[in-house]
Amino acid sequence: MIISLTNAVVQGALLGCFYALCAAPLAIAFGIMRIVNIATGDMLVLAAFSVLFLSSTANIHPTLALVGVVVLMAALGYLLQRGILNYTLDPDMMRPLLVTLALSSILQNSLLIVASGDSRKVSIGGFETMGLEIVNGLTIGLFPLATAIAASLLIWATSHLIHRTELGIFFRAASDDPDIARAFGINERDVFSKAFAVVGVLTAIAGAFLAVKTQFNPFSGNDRLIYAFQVVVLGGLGSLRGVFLGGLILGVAQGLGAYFHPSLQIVMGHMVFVAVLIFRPTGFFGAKRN
Amino acid sequence: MHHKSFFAIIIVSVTIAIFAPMFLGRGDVRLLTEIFLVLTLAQLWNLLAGYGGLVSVGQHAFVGAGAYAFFVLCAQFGVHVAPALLFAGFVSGCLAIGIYALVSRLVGPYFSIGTWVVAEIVFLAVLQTNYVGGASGFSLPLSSIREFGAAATTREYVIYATAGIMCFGVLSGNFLFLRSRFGLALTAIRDDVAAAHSVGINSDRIKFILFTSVAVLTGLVGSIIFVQNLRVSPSAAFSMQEWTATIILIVVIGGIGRFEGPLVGAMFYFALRELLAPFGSVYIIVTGIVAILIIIVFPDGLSGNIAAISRRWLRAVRPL
Repeated sequence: MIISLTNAVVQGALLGCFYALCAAPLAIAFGIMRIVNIATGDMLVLAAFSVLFLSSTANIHPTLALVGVVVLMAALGYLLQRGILNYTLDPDMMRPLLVTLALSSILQNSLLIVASGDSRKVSIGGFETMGLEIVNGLTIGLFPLATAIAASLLIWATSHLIHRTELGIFFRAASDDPDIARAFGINERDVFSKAFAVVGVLTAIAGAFLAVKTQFNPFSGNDRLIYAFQVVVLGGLGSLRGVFLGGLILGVAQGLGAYFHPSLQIVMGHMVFVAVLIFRPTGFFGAKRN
Repeated sequence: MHHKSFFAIIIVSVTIAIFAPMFLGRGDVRLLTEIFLVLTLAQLWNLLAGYGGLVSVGQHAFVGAGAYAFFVLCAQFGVHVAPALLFAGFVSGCLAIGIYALVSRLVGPYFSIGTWVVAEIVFLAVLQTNYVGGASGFSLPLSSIREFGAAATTREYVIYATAGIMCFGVLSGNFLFLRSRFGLALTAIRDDVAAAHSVGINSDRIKFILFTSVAVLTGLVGSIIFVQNLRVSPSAAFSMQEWTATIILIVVIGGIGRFEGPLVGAMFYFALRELLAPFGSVYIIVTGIVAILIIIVFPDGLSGNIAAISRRWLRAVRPL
């Protein structure tokens, strides 16, 4: 009983790290550019498909394909901001939201035409099924463990980039006050394009983990966005530390839900989300900003 | 536009709409029914988002709730279709009160995705309810179908007429509403919340009433849509792509926050869809690309652009 409950919490926490990884692109796009990217989930799915196609057509290992996909998604992110989103920088944030909504439709239906509606999965040669037995009844999968490590490292690295490097200072300056930043020679359009390239890199890596972890099809992006959004709201809007905590809360809630009954997994996650919305609408790390 | 000219146009359109089925094939009548329903949804969303500033991306919750409420009443309780339709709107409105209590705490874009997440929760709840057929849904019983008319052609005409009444009703209602005290208060809030408050407008109450009434009508449209399909399933009734994303793209293309926006957008959308019909879902991609271009280049939409060009033209032809 204790072991199986511990197991539920541990598996939930590992799942939560994966959710945090997928939510990081959404949190950064909002934190820096004030863009609610509705196409976040579809971009994750695009990255997953890219890993699949690159590894199968070039006949290379998916990890190697990921390198190419990181470059591709970074370029795509940069161009998206530079070519489209930079023209929609509004104080009321509605135009970028509508643009990404349209982008979401475009991505889903383009993938449907190119890849058909079948569900796919990427295999990495048995690693994804290996596990480490701690005690009887508590096994930690190597792949979920790798996901958790990758999520921690990436979120730490991104946080370091934003808070400790010169580029990060530019990001925050352009985000907090574009007018003053411009007076110091920072062009917010340039800076935002670079920030969206960072979002692209995170999307590519999260998408690769998604490709191995679960089945995906051109319309899987909706669910991904919903979990990512829940994570971001649970953690507090735009806070990277919060993303990690939000992921853990959602993951553990789902893990416990599944422990009581398999059909309760998703429901429990939604219930925790609704409860937080009622009692703590700013999330756990929510900093009040104007 | 003046009252007189607007209602003259409405009366002419309604007259054409009444006699149109005599000259059209069954396929065309079905298409017109669909146009009426989509146009109604677009008008409702424009009222909500364009005038009320409540940019909901979870309207599919109300389409689905209305459709399911209608089907359950007809199939499980044997209620006649007419009261069932009205009750479907009522159920959708009750759902809106609950949803609004949750999402009204979120601001700006987070309100938007909040409505979506809650809509997905409603979808999931319906999906897991065996009473309404779970993932596969259920059909409208033959007895209820017959209540719309014994013969298939009569039935289609009745559904067409219901959709038409909804569409022209919402169009006229919209027109009158925007000129009423409520409508003026709404545009005042959209344009400047602080100034609106200072003249004594209670924006919270107005937004709540708007959200709920739009949900009631959206639920009504939802039930009519699925009467036409004769079958309801969670993935079809709660389709984000069809009942929210497409509707939003239509309004954005036509001109968000403009009275004639949904009309122009819907005309564009259906023309494009019929034109690109042989190429599968390409029309959705093109619609999306056009919407992005419009947001960047003509934020007032096609209708705003047409209005601006025609003004320039009129000025050019006016004698000096």
